[in-house]
Amino acid sequence: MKTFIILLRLFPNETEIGHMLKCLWNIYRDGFSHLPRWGKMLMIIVVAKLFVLFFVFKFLLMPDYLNNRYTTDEEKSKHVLNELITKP
Amino acid sequence: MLFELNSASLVEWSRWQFAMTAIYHYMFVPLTLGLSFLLAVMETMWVRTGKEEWLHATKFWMKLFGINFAIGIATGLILEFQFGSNWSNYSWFVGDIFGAPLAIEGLFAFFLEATFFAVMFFGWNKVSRRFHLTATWLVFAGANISALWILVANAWMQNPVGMEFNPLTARNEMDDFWAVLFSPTAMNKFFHTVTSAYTLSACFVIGVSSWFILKKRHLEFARKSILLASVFGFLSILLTIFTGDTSARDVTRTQPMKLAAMEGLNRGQEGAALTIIGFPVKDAALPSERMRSVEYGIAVPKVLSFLGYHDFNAFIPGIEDIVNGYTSHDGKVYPSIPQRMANGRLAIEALKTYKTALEENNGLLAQEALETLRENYPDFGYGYLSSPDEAIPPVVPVFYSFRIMVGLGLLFVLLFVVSWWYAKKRKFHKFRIIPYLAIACVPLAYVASQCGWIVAEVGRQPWVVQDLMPTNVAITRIASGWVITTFWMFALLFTLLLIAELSIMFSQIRKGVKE
Repeated sequence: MKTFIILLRLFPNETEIGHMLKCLWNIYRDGFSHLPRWGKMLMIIVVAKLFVLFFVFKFLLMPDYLNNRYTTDEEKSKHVLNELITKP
Repeated sequence: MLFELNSASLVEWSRWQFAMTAIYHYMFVPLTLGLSFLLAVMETMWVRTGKEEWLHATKFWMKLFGINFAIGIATGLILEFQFGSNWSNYSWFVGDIFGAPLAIEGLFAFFLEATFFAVMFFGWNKVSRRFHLTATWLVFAGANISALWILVANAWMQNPVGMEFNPLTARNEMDDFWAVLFSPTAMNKFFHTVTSAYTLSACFVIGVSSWFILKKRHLEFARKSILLASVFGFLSILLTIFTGDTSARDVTRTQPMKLAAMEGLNRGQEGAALTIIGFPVKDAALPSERMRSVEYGIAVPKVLSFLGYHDFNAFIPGIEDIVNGYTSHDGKVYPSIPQRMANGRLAIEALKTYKTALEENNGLLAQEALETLRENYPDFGYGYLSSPDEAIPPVVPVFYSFRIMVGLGLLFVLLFVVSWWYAKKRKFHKFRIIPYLAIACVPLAYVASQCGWIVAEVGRQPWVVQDLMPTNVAITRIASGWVITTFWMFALLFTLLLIAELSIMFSQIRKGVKE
């Protein structure tokens, strides 16, 4: 029983999770606000890169072929099955 | 014209696009895997000894690690975008097996990046020393476990195990997770890749430290970094060689054509020699245009047989043997490629019949077709080949890449031994050739890494999934012009990212260590 209680204590309760998230948020906020110049430049590159990747490539240029054309798994299966039996 | 559907061009451009993005992506990955370990060791030294020099070293290398990590983060996502857009048949065909490891990888990456990475970078003076150290070790563990899942997925493509093909859904469904995770191919691939990444990181640390030594700056910091990195690098390269040996045995059994291409071995031999250096050239006397004769070759007798089976007299099949059928050293009979093509066509025809029989509610015919499909499924992909020649990978790039990788690996052994010795004796700066060699080894380590991937990926052509799906079946039938357009856009994006990484990194290296 004692071991069980100790094990239970390893898992944080709601208050502790809230406290941890708050700490994490503070670490992020303080970290980003005190970034050196090169760090800020790096962050700009990261944000620009993520924008290009997700908005330009994922949504505009490279949408998922099957998801874009078919709604159900059955339709997707049918398409690929046809491809497998008709490819040269 | 550019946007017309041209099958050959589409396959080639889709392959080039994937290869280019994978090569660029892998420029960022290995440093993350290995440098995180060195950071964790340096920080541990600081926490245990309290010596400020280890703290300065940790912070300096962490800065370079952070630049590499930030620029490289999410570059791998482009490969996943390509699965969906350019390789939709493939991504559906392997979906369940590929999906599970990639989902686990995604979760790991998310938690790693959202929590411990932030603590590691921004948590100095905000959390206790031990908590910070734990975060650094967890970043190392998270990055490497993340790599495990990607490499497990890749290994499954080289040696598909633990699954069954479902003809109703056209998908391979995982029926044994542990077989996928612990397949010898997956384990070899993981350990060979991460230990080679550690080797690259050690070369990076020694190279940058050597620059400081040449500039006569931060001499003690540089010496300590070299000592630590040379020991780490030496152990890593030994493990890379060991896992290279286990990989060779695995390739001999699961991808004999790749091994034959690596060696330019056309006719099988007992006691086959390992070519150290040679020049594969076209030879009209050979039965296939894809085969090459190795000229001016210098070879070590019997070593290839030893690498393949740990037996100096074992039979290693050449390309001709694999095309015509052979019995392996361990007694397994491999049918000829024309026979496998016939089996594959039977399997494809059975799949077609199965589909039609189900639509016509003909249960008996469907059952018969299913049995034929299952019986011939191991050769399913061969049914799409139009000639046995298509089963032969490009010999020249695989042959040279293998030799460059191994040759550079041996150079790194020398680098680590010499670096450790002269750093220990405090004579590193006296022999200027050593720091120059160390600096040259930084780009060479990247070359070796990329050559390793060329051997692994070009060597398995024409397969996307070994024996089950060739490249030309895996692609989406979209206009090749679209793939060409995105190819150049990716090339531009990655080149800009690489320039950004190098310029920020060089400027921070020039600034030096804060003491």
